[in-house]
Amino acid sequence: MTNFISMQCAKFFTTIFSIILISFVSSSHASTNQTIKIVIITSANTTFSGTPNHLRSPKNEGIAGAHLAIPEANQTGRFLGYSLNLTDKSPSDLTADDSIVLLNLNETDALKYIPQLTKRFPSSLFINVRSQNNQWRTERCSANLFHTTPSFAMQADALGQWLLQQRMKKLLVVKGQHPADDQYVDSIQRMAKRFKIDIVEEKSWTGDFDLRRVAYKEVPQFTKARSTYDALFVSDHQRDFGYALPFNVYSQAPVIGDFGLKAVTWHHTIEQWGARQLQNRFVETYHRNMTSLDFTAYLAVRAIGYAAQIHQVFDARSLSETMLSEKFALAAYKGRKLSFRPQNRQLRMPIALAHDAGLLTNAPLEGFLHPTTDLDTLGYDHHERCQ
Amino acid sequence: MNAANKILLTFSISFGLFSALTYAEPELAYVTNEKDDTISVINLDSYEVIKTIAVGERPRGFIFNQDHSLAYICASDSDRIQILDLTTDHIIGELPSGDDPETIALHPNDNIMYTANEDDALLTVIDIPSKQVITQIDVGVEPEGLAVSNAGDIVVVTSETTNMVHWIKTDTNQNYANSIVGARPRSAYFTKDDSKLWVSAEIGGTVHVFDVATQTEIKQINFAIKGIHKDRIQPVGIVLLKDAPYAFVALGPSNHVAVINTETYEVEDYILVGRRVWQLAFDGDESRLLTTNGVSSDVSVIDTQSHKVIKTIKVGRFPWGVAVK
Repeated sequence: MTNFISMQCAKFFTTIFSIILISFVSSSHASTNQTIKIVIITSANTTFSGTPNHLRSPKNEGIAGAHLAIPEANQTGRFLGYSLNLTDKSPSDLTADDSIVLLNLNETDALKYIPQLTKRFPSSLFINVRSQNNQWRTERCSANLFHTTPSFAMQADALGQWLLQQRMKKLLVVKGQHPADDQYVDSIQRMAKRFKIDIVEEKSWTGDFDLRRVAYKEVPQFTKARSTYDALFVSDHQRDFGYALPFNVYSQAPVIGDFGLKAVTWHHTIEQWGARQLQNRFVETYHRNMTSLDFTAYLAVRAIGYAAQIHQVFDARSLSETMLSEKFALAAYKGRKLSFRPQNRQLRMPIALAHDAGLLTNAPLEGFLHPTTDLDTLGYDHHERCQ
Repeated sequence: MNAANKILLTFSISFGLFSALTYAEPELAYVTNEKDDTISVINLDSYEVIKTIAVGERPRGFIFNQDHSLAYICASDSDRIQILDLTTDHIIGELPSGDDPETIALHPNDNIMYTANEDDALLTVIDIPSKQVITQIDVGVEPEGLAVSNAGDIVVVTSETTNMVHWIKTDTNQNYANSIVGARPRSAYFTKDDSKLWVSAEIGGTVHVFDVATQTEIKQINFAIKGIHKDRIQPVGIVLLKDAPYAFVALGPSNHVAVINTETYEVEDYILVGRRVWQLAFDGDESRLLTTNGVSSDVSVIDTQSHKVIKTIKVGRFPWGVAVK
């Protein structure tokens, strides 16, 4: 009862506070200043020795995107009386005071820290910007965990829609040794079952010869399957071998997945809906192209800034309520309003299908429909666990 | 109508209707082609592209000066505003614009130009005779839509990522108010009497009407087109008829233009046009409305009375801005 009363009081004061703030909107610069503190936890950058130099991830990947969003959110906050700031921390330094936390964790760290931290700090708001593991969206959801990065299932479904539209019904699957490679393949299998695509064979890359010397001769032999196929899907999280596949496979089929045609959140060739402006700002600041991970981290900060803007709320609990509310419609250079799926707090978004030099299209493709929104044709639906 | 034309018209009438037709100059529509770095000029009598003018990189915003002798073009990737002489079709100068100018608006006194610099969150104020930047005003992230009131006392700019309309006094260049609108506001348009301001919100899928005196929203207009998902209804360009209570709003990738009664705020019609309809412009007597259709690279001509598309004209790649003289 006491709790209930204090909640009602809190709501009342929030309302009064909002009214006061809104009245400040009319003046050119609002004078109240609320600070929203955001913490980002980033896994140490480990490089796999088999990755060629030109395919290695930038050292500041992810963090760069999050930092770019801060002054932008503050430019808006200036008119409304709030500001955001971002600090880096290690998981062990996290306290209950760190109420908004972005998780930029590699697969090993994600498995270790996501369950641990979300449980230990139940009133903090966590946003996963990197782990695409389906289990955080299906079996191991947490009420305080949001995702701005798509799951592997969303990516696989985007590729599946393309395969179906191209009438490519036979797929060869090739995967590397990393655990994330298996996860992507699991999602491809799920997609194949739904779309009735035949996986003719699955092959694992063992890496027992030097690609840089004999790729031209060896790869066609490696990609010879029991039957012909229309496309080859490659899952190669560490970028160890997939680069040697395009134009060199036994069935002369297109390569899709981590090389060739990729299903990505962001790509340097996206320029519609104001994306060009974001690309320009990023390149000017960091002297490299913005990656999907930079973009999902950028989106996490944007989501918080936008929630603060529309409801003038600044604490973790009210921000997460706003992020799940009907009013939340994030404009994010994708030509669609983005919102979080209530059952697992996964951000709904179009997935770009792109190759190195250009953007092919955005999934969901025309004709793939869903009763809620066609964006929900990508990934797990509301009846597939985690409510 | 200027004095010379009046004399010409009187002269013509005295010689009968045939002479008048012979002397009347056809109206011309100027369309900026974002991906071709050109302007297509359309003769609105024959509906043919009669010439293509090479301009700076990625031309978008396009306006005439008051007597239609010059045009100003935002050459976004050239980071400049170009001045086009409409008698010779030559670029005769440029204005300092700051980085990436997308849209421009001219003060009714013909001397002050406003431009939104998307990459820097600034509104740049330029003195045209001296070609000097007078000041730059801090606004929200990705400023885009610009409008100057007909009386010339107010300029507004919308910011796409901050989701606001910023109100600025033109005499002091002071930002005196900011109003929140729907997600990703694009165009702004003052009513003829300056009492109201119309603003489109592309991702919000709404049009917002503000009372100019109080800067408060008095109406939010929503859209629904049968068979088209609401996310694809993305309002961008807005124009209002001067002598009839109707507004036309381009609805982007829904490929429709909405017709709104400005007294009741009811949407009375949706007109199917080309793909990704972007900006709008009336001809001289407002009997025809031109739309730029970015994806299909054409211009639709709509009869403003019957709401029918009477012509579709192929132009360059990604037509963006349009104006008629």
